[in-house]
Amino acid sequence: MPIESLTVNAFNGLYFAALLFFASVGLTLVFGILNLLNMAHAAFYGLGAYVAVWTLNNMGDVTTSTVALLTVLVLVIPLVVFVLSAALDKTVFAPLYEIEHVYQLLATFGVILMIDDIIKFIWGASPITVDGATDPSRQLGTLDLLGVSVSAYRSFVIVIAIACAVGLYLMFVKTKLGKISQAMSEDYEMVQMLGINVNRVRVLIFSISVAIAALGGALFVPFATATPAVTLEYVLLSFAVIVIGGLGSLKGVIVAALVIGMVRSFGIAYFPALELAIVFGLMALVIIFKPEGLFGDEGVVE
Amino acid sequence: MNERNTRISRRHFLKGSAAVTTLGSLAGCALLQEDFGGEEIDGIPDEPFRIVQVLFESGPPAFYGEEAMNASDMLVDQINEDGGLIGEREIEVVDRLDEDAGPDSLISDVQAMAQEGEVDMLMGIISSAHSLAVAPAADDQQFPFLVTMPGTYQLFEENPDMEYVVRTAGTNAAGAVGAVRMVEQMDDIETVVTVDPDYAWGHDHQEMFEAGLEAVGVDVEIIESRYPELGETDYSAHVSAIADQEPDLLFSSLWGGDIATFVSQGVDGGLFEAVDESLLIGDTGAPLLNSLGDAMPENVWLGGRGGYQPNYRYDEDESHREFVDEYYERYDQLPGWGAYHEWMGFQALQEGVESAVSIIGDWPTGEQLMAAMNNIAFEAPHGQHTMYGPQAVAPAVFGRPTDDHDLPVDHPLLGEFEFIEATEVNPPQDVLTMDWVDELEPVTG
Repeated sequence: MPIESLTVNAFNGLYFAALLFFASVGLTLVFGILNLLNMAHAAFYGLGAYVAVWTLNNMGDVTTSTVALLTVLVLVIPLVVFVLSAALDKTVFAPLYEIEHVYQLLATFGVILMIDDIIKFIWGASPITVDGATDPSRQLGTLDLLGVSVSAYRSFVIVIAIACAVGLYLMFVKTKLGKISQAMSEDYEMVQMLGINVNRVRVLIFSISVAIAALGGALFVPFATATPAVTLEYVLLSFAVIVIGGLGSLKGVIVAALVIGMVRSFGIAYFPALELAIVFGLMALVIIFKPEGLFGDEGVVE
Repeated sequence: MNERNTRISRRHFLKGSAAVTTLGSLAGCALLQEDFGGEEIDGIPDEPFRIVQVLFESGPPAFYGEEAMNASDMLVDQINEDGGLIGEREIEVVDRLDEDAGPDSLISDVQAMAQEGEVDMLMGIISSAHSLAVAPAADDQQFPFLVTMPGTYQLFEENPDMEYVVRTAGTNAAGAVGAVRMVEQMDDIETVVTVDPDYAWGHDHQEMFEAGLEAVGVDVEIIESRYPELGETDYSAHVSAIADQEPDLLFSSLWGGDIATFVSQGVDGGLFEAVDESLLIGDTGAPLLNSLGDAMPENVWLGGRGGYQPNYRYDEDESHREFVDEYYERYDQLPGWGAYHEWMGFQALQEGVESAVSIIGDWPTGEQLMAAMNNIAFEAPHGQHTMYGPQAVAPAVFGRPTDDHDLPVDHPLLGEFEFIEATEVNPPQDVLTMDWVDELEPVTG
């Protein structure tokens, strides 16, 4: 196995892990802290992808500057989604916090269908891609990584994922919001009785989580095609991530995303016939030997 | 390459049209002579001809369903503006079934419709796997089913006695064997990697392509076959693995959003610099070129089972020009394969009704109508679209991406078209596809 193909496969694996992290970290946070099993979580990844492709394709007349395009992807879209999801939390999701997980799954599955139909209603069912002129992945070209040329844009996505993971960790251990969140994951009622406005924390955590999923979708789309299928694919993958990593653990999501990303990348490269079996075989192994997931018995940031 | 192809095409084209005339008159005789039993219909009914369509309205292949839906809305409007079928009976699409519900649900819908008797014909279906389940069920219920899109060659080979089912799409043999014909004419191809979706459509294509290459005796080796799952969003691991091997040719029957994603990530990963030539045969054309735009590599052949490219014989063929112009005016994009397949379906329906009414004098029963669609031929962008019994045989048409075209879109379309006659890419009537492919003769032999 030449060193170059090792590097390329590791890079592909890291990139896929970054996407998985964006799509599933919020799912685990919302479950761990707010006790909501939101099946629709990764659907916001799909929504983010469509909003991004639409925004980028409409920016062409105003500017095609790479910095502006990246700012839109990394800051503007997640911010808009953050505000929208706060409204969603107060309306669609508010009644769901009180019900059992099974009903949460059913109800949020309905939300997936709604998001799917909204996407099709607005953008149609045909695959759409970012125009060449406003596609940062084409503008940025390639860079040299250990003698191999890799996409500069995808490297950027990996960096943003790492920054996001570090940011979340710091938020949980350093800020008041993070500490209250951790306490809520331990004992929701006790925190409520201490006079803390848990609803406010709930809205913030929910919106941050959803905004990260949308950020992932936005970053994903310059290098891929927005199709209605994206939604469901990432819903399934994000469940594989949290089953392997353990529900409710930030560390679990990071480790599981990396494991899946690497195993899939090297697996596809050297055993292409096993592609489907790889991710879900891994999931089956974890369910057999450690049903709670790799870090499922730990708190959010333990 | 062009020269040789044209010569072959003309020879077979003439042979083909002679055969069609004979077939047409045979079909007429059968309609008159055969006792279909059951109730006959008197005259032309006043109420509209009621169709239920089945296609994907959700799920990954929904974009294909959308094109088909668009085209059928447009064609039904056009036919009705002229008074309807044979100018006398309007068409009404009374319902649409979402294929995403799965075969079990579709079968029970078909059974219910057949029993209620409120629908005259079922039309459409996209998935090859679904067609294999739903078509025999419709036939069991004696419910007419005009299959317009799926490609699996197994449909009539596994159910040879269906009398209520007709398919106006060519089988996937045309695409796969068409690709073999293209390879026969290429120089310097020694190694091939295949990439096909992991279900019947993809595996069929790969098997036919591999068996066909071996049968015609070209010195080409398939060094690897990959089967990504349907609806994959990240092909980069496949792309770098293929690029590493630097095959001379890449063959793929990925279609729809999948081929768009694959090509776009392939461009990014330097795939089309690592391979010399590609054959992308998963019903590829305008929608792919639209979504890829300028990123579309030029060293690829796109196409498949039929000349369903908007600028293919656009100037020569008036009905094609009208179809493309009208579709573009209505939907602001060029028609893709789903749209073309529906067009062929409606042509067969018009042709079938016309010939049945002219022979019987009254409106045909369901069984008569389906029989009347057997062994007919009608105009398509690629010339005569011929039915061998209930199954259409399509030629293969491939082209290279180019910006040099006159249609009012700012994305590339195809040029340098290669036309491979239907008889070169389909088995003769009553010969099983795989048996034929295993014994495939070289095109020049």
